[in-house]
Amino acid sequence: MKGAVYKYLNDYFLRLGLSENSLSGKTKIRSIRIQVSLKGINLSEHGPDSIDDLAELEKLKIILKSLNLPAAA
Amino acid sequence: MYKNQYISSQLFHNSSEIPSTIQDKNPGLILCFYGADFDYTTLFHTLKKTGIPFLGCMDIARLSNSEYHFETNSVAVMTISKEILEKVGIIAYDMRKTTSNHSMYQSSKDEYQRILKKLGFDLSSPDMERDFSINLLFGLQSANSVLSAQNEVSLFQQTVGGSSGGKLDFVSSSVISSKGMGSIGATAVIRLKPEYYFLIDRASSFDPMEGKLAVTKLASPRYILELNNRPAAEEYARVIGKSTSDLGAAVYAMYTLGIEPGDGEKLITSIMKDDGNTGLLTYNDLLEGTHLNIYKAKLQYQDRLAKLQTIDKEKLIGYISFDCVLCYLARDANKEIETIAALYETTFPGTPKIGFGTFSENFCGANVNQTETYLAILKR
Repeated sequence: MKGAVYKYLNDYFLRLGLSENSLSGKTKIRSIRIQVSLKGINLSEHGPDSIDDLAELEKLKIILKSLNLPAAA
Repeated sequence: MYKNQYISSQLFHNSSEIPSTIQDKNPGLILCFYGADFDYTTLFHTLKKTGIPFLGCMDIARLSNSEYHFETNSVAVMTISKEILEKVGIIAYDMRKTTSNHSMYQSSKDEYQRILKKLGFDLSSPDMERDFSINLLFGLQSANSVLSAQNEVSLFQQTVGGSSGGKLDFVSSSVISSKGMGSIGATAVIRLKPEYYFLIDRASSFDPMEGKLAVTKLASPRYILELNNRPAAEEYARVIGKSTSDLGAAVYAMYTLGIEPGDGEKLITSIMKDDGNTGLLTYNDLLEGTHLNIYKAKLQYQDRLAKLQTIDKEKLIGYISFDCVLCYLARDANKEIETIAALYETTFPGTPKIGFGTFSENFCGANVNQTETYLAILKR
């Protein structure tokens, strides 16, 4: 699916109320991105136009859930 | 000595000179990085007597203001004034080589949680401009278990630091702190006063290469057996255009591995050596299934310049660098020592600067290699 990982991750940031417009939001987004990478997803492979394997999207969902950030729906 | 109203930095060759030099600066925290032949036991006891919280470690070489120092008998010292520190807490935890990863994870987690709560930090939502932690971790142990514990305690508490260094025989590498010394990890938890803020960032100097290496079989987190379902050393050599007989420390440093968090940054994992067969040992933990990028090292000047230019030099009052031992050695090999030192000095003239050659670097909860991570302290 085109851009699935990229889109899901950006939607997740929005659900947390995070944006790159403030130093605080930018730094929190960086921390989440680093955790996703450390848990095995190389985000350089997942841009808006990449054709993403659905298994990778499921992996992302599991990783984000494990971060246990309460504001995320 | 470089100093301003808030921070000072100086190189010493004798511990006894330190207390009288720093006492008029109202220090709330001392950082120090010392060579492998410096008497760190005396340094520990000298600093302990001052009653000031401190954190320090052994290194292979160090940055003190405008110069890199490769001699093994000096110590670079930075004092940070109480004027800018609202809260400081120091913790230490066992990282001896005989200590298991689980034990390091648990003890560092318990201590980190305790100190953050004691100081009244909000674990789920720290002040992203004033709250941070500096780690100095025993360099002959993996930093990953400590960092993953800290991430679990507070994902957003920003961390920076490195693993202690030493001589390249990897025999000795100590950490000292006001809570103990030896084969330990030590962390300073800090909140700046509202008039000050910090930046944590990283710099590395690599160009991406074609191809990917999927980690398909691990013997342990730092021991790769297969890449792309082929023997690891053979596949690594193939993608970088070498034969396995070419592989060695210089090639591993030149052609390194990593992943990216999708914002243009790189989290580098370096190869340490082969296993005598077709496996590869790394300086960082890996997970099976990870797709690694391949990078080729280049000169450091341009990337460092680009990063330093993002810092507001009018507001900068102190700069602390955690710079991989391999970056120090690469600068030496590429005759970049003076140009890079001059770069820091011309970009931030007169600003107190300190740093050391690390056995691995921390960056916001990640353990990375062949990278400079840094902490910049600024006045609003």
